[in-house]
Amino acid sequence: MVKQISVLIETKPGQAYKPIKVLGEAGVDICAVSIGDASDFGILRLIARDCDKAVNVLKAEGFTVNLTDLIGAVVQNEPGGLSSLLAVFEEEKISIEYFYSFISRKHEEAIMFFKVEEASAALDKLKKHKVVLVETF
Amino acid sequence: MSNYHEKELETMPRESLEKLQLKRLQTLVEYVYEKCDFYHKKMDEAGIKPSDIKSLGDLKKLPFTTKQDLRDNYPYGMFSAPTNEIVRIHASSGTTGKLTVAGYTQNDIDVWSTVMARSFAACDCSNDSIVNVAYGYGLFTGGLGAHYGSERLGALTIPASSGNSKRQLQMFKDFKVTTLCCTPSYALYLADEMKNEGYSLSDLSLKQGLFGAEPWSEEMRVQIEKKLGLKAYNIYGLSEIIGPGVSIECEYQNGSHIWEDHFLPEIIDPKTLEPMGYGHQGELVFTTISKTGMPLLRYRTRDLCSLIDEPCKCGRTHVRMTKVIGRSDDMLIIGGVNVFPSQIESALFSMKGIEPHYQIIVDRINNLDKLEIQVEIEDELFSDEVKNLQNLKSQLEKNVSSAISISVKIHFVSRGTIERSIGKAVRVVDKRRI
Repeated sequence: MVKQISVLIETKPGQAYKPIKVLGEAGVDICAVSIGDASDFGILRLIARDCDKAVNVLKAEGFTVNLTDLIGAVVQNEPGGLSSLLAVFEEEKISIEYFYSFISRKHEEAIMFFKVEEASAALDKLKKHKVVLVETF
Repeated sequence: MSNYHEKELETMPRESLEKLQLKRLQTLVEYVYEKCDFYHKKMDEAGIKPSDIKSLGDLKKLPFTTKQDLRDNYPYGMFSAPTNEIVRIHASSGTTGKLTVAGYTQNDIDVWSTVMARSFAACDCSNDSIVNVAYGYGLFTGGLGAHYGSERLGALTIPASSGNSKRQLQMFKDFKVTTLCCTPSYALYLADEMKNEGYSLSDLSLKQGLFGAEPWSEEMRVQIEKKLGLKAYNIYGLSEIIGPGVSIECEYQNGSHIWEDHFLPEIIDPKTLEPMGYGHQGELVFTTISKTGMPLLRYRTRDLCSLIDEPCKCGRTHVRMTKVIGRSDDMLIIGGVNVFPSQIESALFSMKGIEPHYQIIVDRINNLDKLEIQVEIEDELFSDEVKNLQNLKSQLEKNVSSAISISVKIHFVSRGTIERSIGKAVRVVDKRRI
């Protein structure tokens, strides 16, 4: 599992910048970022190399924060790569809430992060299909 | 020459008026002492007998009545008349979600109709007037109060109630409405809709409007008068006392005349509860000296103003109250509805995981009052999924709206966004310029 940090932000200019700035100043390396957007609030989702440090820094600055387990899976950086991975989800009827990607330092592969229902059961199913899972970067 | 409904009573010399007030006060005190257990007990506790009321100055010996008393004695405990003599009930919202009830006998409905008819007359209305009552009809006193007064005056009365602005404007034009009764914010809203619906001032025959049920500013008066082409009068009242028609501005618009033969006013210091003289600012207190259903002794309105006893050029001898400049409690009047911050707080906190930090923001946008609540949520309740937060938001909006009977918008903010203050937290930000 990969720990994702969610931060509540308001939909006003500068609201995404604030937490990112705080993390940058604390020397936290952010691997991937995504935003969930509603009409008057947003959720900034991040994956940091040092998750505990990131959470401490954000909480100390007063941000509303929580942690979610995501599944990290390797995708070949080539046409059809994502398709063959999603085929497994389809076959195993794993329902995905959202997903986003992170380009690995190795050019030939990317990493996708998935928020699914019942993450640990999903993880077992994916292992059966020899999906390459990642937990650290 | 002013326009009166009951000239003799409205222009009665002070001496005769005070004689009448004393006689009515003495009758009232005897009546409530005999009929209402609540007052019997209160007066016994204070060591007062009805026979102790020998002059109007003795009024200050009587116990006060508060909104809390009305709540504690819900629903019928404050009534002096038995329910078979009560012909109507009105109610307004209270802090705990429990209604504040007022009961009327036929006598009280007659008193109310009369003071409302006088109020219409003071605003230069007559049986030639065509009155559109756009206050809400129902438990709220605005609609039916204005309606009965307008009928008593003999005016053509349209029970339009509030809402459906398009139809209101159509009726203004087709029925040649001369007189509008509604909240000042709704009047401004109608004025703006008028433009949108393609009406011009020449389509309308409006002469005057009786606006009340919420505080409003002189700037609003100027705007309403200009946009609707009428003269705007302030009308004051509260359901506990009777409803609209407790006081009204005359053509000189220098304070509102209190119909003193029915409602005996006092100004007290809200801290010491000592009566203050004319011209001093304090809390307005009323004793209803002619009602029989739910007459009240020294009811604390919580409205802050002062009384003017200088004679008025209109010829009415009844004292005037200045504009209400605030409240001695934290009640807000939003779109004509009474709202206590404590109601909002208990609705918010009924859901687990809501931080104690919230702020109520009241604003007036396009002339309508808007209520927004900024809420900080705890980490545990915060979700990474938009739909979960949206569900939480709508659940909170539902809880709060049903507690206070007006719609509300919840706005989630990060922890620490709401300014922490040392001592009393700033729970309410009222951005309306009143």
